[in-house]
Amino acid sequence: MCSIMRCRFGRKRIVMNGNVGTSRRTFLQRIGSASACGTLQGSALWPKVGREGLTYGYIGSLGPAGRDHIEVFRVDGKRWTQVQRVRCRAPAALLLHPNRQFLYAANAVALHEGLPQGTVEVFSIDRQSGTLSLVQRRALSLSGTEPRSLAITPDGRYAVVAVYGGGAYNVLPIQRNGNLGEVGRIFKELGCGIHVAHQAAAHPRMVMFDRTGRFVLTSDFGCDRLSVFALNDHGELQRRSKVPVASGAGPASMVLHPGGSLLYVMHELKPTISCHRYRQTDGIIEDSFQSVTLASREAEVLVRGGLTIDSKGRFLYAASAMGITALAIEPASGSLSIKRQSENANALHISQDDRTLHAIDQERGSVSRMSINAASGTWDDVTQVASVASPVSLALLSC
Amino acid sequence: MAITVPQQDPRYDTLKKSRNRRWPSSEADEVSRIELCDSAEAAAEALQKIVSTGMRPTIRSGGHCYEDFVVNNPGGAIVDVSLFNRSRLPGDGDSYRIGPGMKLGEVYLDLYKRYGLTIPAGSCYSVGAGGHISGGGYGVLSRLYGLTVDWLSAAEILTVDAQGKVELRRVDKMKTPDLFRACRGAGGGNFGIVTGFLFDKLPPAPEEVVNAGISFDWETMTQDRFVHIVTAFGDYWETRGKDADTWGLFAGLGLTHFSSGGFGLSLQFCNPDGYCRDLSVVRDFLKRFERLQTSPGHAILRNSTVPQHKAKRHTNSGESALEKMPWLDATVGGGSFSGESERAKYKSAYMKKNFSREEAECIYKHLTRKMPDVDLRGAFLAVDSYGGATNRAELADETAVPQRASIMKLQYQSYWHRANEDAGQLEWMKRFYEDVYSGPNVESRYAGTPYPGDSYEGCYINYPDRDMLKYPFWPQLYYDDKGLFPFLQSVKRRYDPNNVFHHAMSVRA
Repeated sequence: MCSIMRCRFGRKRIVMNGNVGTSRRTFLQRIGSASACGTLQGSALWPKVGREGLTYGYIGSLGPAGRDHIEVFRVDGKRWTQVQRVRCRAPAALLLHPNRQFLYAANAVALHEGLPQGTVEVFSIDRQSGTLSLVQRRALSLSGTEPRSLAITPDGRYAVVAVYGGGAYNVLPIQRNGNLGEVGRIFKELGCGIHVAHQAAAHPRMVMFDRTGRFVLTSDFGCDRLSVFALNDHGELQRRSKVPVASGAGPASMVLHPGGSLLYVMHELKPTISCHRYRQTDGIIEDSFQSVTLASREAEVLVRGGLTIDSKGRFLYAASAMGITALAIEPASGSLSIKRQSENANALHISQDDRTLHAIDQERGSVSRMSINAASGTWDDVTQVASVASPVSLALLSC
Repeated sequence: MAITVPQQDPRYDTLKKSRNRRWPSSEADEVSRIELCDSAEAAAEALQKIVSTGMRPTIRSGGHCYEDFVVNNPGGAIVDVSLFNRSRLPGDGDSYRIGPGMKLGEVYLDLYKRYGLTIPAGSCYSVGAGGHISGGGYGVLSRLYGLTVDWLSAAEILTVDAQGKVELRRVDKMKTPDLFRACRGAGGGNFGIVTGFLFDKLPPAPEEVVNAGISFDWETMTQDRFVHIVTAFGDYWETRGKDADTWGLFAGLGLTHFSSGGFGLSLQFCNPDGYCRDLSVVRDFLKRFERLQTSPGHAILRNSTVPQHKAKRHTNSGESALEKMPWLDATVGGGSFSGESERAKYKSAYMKKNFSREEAECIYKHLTRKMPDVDLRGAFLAVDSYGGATNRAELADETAVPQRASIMKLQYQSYWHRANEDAGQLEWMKRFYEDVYSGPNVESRYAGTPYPGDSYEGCYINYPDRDMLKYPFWPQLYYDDKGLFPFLQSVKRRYDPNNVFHHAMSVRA
């Protein structure tokens, strides 16, 4: 564990606009981004069950002195009750299996048993209490360090992991009992960007399936690139297309419009959201047709955030260095306009009925709940529902 | 153009394997194909195809990698340069060129017959030049001539730039000196694919040598006598062996497990002039062991000193005379000594001082230890002489081999056939090794390792040992703690920013 901690704190300070972000802060904010939210993509693929209020919340936390963990809460409206704390190393992203029986955590570590490998931990979920039991820790490929995001095929057969540190994607088969098989396929990315400190190499940041489940969409923070891969029945990834984004942008979090043909990408080096048309018939992302600047000034620190979208595709919510931004989506064109900015957050989750937005704020160590105004897409009240040390990822399970 | 051997090809099952039969570890670890390359152009084309399709390349020349660095490459591809075995390209302006696929035995023959020259490389003649020289290149003539990389003038290497483009570079002291230094001993599979080793000059091959040896019986061995033998050996290299007139003497103690019946000392000698007219050095050396023998006389090793091979192959007791022979015959005349492929495990250590009594007793303890259901007849500790020309301190800064103050180099080895013996064999060697390096001369924080210091100088990267990865300071074991490793990390960042070339013990930027 000591060596892992060294890796965490060994990052260089980052200077942007003359400001200096601490190494730990930088790391924490990097880790708490993009695909940190476990139900963003899954919710659209799963049947809606029950009403908001019968939910379990899973918050990945970077505890002090390396005591990382997942905190499990029973969620009853604004009342969050902690029911468990389970150890989990650097839980950069949490993702529920489509069958809702397992939770997968991408462990953003650089070493595993002395080898340069990240890991994915698999937890079984007790249906009665929502509590977790660690059932497996699966090593990623050699050099597969610091995974930051994972996605599961709609049929639950494969998991695809974005290996940020190792610059690769790993495909792992999922067994019937939820366990992960050995890494079956590796796709090594190559490339770089103009930002010397952060883009010296490829850094896959997020993976997600499109609405058809046929293609994997990826963002590469290191080389300013979006890609689409086809995943065949043998678990092999083949790149279908790729498109560059603005040089030095650092693409990270992505979300698809419920219709499946619009892709929104948040960039972390330049705090913007780019809008792309996506052709899900052949897996092609087109060049950006709009870029929305989230901040009039560059961020004090490098990165933070995530994206989520309401089920009707009317509003997009972005957690960025400037806080939470609500953006209205113009129905015909898919273009964005900013409605409101406030509140700090690193990752977001919107309820299936579009009425509640949950956000984690790593810096303040808080989990907040906002009630969404259905007409305006903004929020009227903010309630802190839980305190968690350095929250970096979340997933919510409605039972 | 490369010859592609996919999984459907009849050659695949043979070519997917390592000489160390422990690898690939499982079917899941196997490569998807092997690209056989006989030129830099073919290797470049194959490498570009591999990286452009998101696959991981690993590199093979002779196939002797001790660990799983090459053939454990799930779904990836091996770039096999064993057919790239040209020793020179006429008219290209380079004095001597060694292709990465050349076997050491071929190199010796070729250089001797063409030029009367040689390289001070290893004694296992089927080892490929690509991996051997990349890791330093050490052998029977190293006390006399230094390491092979000490003579290297330039290298040609395929690298992959940040955008994924394969580039053929020629690196030397003037052009890209950082990458050139890294090519001089940091180990294979780190920065790219070496397609040529270039030498402006090389040392002359000796004309004649004396090969000799002594056998010792385990049956009559006592701990006290064993300690005397081992420390007498170490004492020589710590004292008399530092004198320049002895640098033509190379010797190895093959300390086999007692179950093999006996162990031996073997040597090869020539004077610095390449002849053996005066044998006083070797007679003086052997005299130190005469009173410690029980087997009659000296044992002559006609084929080779074979200091790194199994003792069962080099005990030939009963003859008593020193025998001169042409160096070429002694070196390659008797065959390759490559041995059949077996399961194996290796560890290493450099020693700056003679064995302490505690160390010698510890070695004795483990060599006489019985392991239930584990056949240790193929297990031994090879203690080779070091020093001489290898210890020119200034070369530590020019090359990537920091070990320039040692007098002996130890290689722990074990060979066996069946997979069900793996655990027992590995456990025996692990306990043996860790025990030796847990004495009072080892700081507690480095216990179990020959961490560089007063007594030891770490390990040899060409004898890689994955067990060392459990220590956070493993890079310092192989590259010392005086700045070489950070330098190599900077080279890695610059020339392989996407870490295309990696294995369990590659340089991690």
